[in-house]
Amino acid sequence: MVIKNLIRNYGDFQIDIPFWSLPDHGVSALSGPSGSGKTSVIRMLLGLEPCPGLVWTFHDLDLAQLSIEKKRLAVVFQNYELFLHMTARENIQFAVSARGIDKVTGQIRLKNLAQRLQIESVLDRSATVLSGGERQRVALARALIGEPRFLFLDEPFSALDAHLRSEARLLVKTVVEEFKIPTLLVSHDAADIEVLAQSVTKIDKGRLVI
Amino acid sequence: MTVPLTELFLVIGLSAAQALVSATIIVALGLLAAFGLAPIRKSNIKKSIELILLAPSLMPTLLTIVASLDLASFFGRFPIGFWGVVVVHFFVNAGLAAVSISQLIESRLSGIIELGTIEGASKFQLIKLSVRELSEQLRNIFIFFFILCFASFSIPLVVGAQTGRTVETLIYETLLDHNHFKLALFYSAIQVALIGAFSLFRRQNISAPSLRRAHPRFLDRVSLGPFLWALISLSVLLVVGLLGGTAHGLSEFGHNSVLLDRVTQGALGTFFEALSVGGLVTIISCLVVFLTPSPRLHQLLLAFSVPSAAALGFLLVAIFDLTEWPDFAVVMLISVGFAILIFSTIHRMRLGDALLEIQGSVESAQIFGANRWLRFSKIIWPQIKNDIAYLAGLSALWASCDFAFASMLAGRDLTLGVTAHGLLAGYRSEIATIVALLATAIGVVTYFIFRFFLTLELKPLSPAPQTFSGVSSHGH
Repeated sequence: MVIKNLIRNYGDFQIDIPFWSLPDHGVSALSGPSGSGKTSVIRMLLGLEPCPGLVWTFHDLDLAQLSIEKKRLAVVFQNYELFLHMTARENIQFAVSARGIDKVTGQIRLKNLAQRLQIESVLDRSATVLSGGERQRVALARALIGEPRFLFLDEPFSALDAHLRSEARLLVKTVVEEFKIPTLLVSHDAADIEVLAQSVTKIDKGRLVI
Repeated sequence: MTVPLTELFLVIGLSAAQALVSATIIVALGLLAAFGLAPIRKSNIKKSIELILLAPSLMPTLLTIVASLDLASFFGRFPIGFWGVVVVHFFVNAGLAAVSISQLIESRLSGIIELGTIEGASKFQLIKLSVRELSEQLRNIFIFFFILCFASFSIPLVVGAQTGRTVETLIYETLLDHNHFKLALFYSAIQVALIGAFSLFRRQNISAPSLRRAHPRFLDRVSLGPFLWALISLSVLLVVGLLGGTAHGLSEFGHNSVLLDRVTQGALGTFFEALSVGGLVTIISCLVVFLTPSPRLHQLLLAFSVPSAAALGFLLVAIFDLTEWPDFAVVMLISVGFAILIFSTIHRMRLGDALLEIQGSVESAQIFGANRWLRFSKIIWPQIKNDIAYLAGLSALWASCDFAFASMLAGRDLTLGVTAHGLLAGYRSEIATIVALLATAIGVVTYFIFRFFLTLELKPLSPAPQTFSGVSSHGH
């Protein structure tokens, strides 16, 4: 997977990544201190922030040319961004209908994911009453159910208590490996990277550190 | 085009002086009352007091104007002119200032007041310190009210006379008396430039509020209860004024069959205008929401404001020959113009922030592949319908008593607001009170219509989808 011209000027800050090569399988990590530009990189790759000139070649396809909806990506944000007016189940089912997956397939996948992520008992609870760990697992299920081309994990453990983090890391590692979805983990926590990632790229002040 | 510069400079001077005096009194008394409001501990009592204080700014301006005139009639004559405009501006905005500043005190002064209390500072020292700490925010609040009073239209139109004129009423006079459109546009441009220049005094990049709110026990140390009660008493006095005007007006009103006919017709026009404005605000809001996320649209709406209500009104009159139009079509055009006028206020007031709050979930939905319609129907609308219902209802309430804009387009009594304006111009404020109350009642009814219908939970026509476990997706 090759990324070219990931460049954007924010006035007092600039993302300047002319070339970046990443493995198209397993978990890669992007690591750097707070304010180094990690989240901006994700937002630009997702298409949430404009980046004219970007080229993102993935399996002979330039993802930068596709609209956000057509890129078929998924993300677990730092604060999970669950739809708070829905239940956990409705959150996951939303991704099924958004991807146009037929209901039967969606139900099978939902059952499988709910078992793997141990969220069966909370599926019919409102997203507002879920604990931090439950929210994270629901967000992961919602991200995986559409079988995305690529998964972004943006500081996915930072909102969890220390004692939940190690358990959550192992669960995410197992599930991501099982589903075989290439993943970019963004984190400044060395333990996240050590447990999950097979390769690491460092970023500082908007530039990759070789 | 010859520009009467002497008159222009005179009116700019009067506008600026009136805005300066109005904003100073509003912010000064609002600040003092805020120190009485912030320490109140019981949330239901606090909310009730906030509602009383906010009522004059949420209610239609016409109602506050007639209440002020009725109140003044107990004591003598209302000070029509410069001071009349200042008084009504104060009545309308002081409560809003008190509530806004009270929220600032709670969110920003927790550390300072607690530390000052521990170190043994006196009440006066704590208040002085608090005001200094809030100086940047107070400056922005002052500029907000200054601009509001500087660009005021409906209030100076009724109670301004010669000394209470503003640039907006000058534009109105230029168009109404002289039909001089180019000159009015020039005045509009001057007004926009001046408002832009005043806005430059706002402080940007103010530090974020404290994460912890101040404990009311410590806020007691800076409590200035009497000023709060004085402000509440003013709101109560306005109600007393309204009741007095109503009592006088009812006896006159019952004996006037011509007026009764005008009011019956006007009531229909008012209801139609209120419904149309609420409906149009709903439609425009839905369009804006449908296009979300769109940072450019958001910025455009934040920056956009109609340069002049008077100029917009006369522009519509110039474009359309309304003499041949049926009444309902004229009211519809008034509604369109009114909705355009207030939409930027509506957006700034709540819609923009509400959209920003759900931006993250909208972006998530987009990433998961949801098309625009799915995002709108499943993600945005359920989370924002209460806000839109409130804003549509409030717009309908404001429109119910609109007189300044409607009188430019209608030229005849199509709505109760225009009728009330005519009565006020003829010094019949008691009957105007009845008409304004009736218009407000219609506005309140339409407010609840929008609150009710826009927040209804629509049941799907087809059965709910079954999940793998065989239960409805909503579960039990």
